[in-house]
Amino acid sequence: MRTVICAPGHRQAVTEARSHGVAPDDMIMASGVHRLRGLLGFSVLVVEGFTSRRDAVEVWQVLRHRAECSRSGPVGGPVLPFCPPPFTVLYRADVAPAAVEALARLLDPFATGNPPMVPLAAAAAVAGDLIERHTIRNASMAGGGDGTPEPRAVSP
Amino acid sequence: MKTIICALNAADADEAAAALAVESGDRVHTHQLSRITGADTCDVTVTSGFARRPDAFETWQLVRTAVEQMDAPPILPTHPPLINALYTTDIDPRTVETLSALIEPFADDGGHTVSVADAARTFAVVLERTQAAYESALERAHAGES
Repeated sequence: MRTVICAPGHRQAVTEARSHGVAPDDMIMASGVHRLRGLLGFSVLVVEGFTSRRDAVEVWQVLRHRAECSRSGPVGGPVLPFCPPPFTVLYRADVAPAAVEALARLLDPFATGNPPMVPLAAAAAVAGDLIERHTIRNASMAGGGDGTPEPRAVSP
Repeated sequence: MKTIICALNAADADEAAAALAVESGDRVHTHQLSRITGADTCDVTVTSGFARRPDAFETWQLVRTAVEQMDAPPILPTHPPLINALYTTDIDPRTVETLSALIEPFADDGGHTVSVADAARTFAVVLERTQAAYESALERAHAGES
């Protein structure tokens, strides 16, 4: 998938893109963000230091607009926060819906309001445990908190 | 670590405890909550069948009350989940801090809450990437062995 790289410089962009598995042909530098019109489906890689660029805010607003337009298309687009983050992060358009759904199920019991909102600390603790167990412990077993619903689970 | 097991019945509880490798002495069933009195912390595991118990809500409130007395309680939701879930304090604080930072840009004006959809999407990307890196490392390790 084509990926827009928002980085402080070309070198950092190439390095981080490579470490995130972005093929050279799929890289779109942030300086070319104005030429994104019509591009359906893309991810966005923000590299730490991007916010120090003078045009960071302008580039980000264009990206957000393009991402929003892209989401209405068949390929989908990433959901971007209002402001660019100060750290390195990849916003992907092609996240597996099943993974999102499973995580949402784990977070839902902590949520209130409409749309459901969840405290940052609770969300991070739930995901942190899940990620640690997926890599260090074993989360694939029943009762292990992997968010897998049983077929007969019903609302109380 | 003592683990409170919220399950549909004894068989369901045994299965959940076995899946998490909780030793017999550390298993605390919901009718044995007095056993965690004085403990600093504990884990709480819930099976997807627990919510089908007629007394699920009352029992859940008892568990929440018992856990709140601890020095370092796990964060429990107000309602029992409908899925398998484990609530623990045995998480690297740096992991929690890093994940909080990842979803903070999506937070509302007060900066304290974020939509479930945004959090789930953000964490799904991290989880997929972490899993891929782990499997890749395993493959490399196995290739090195052979």
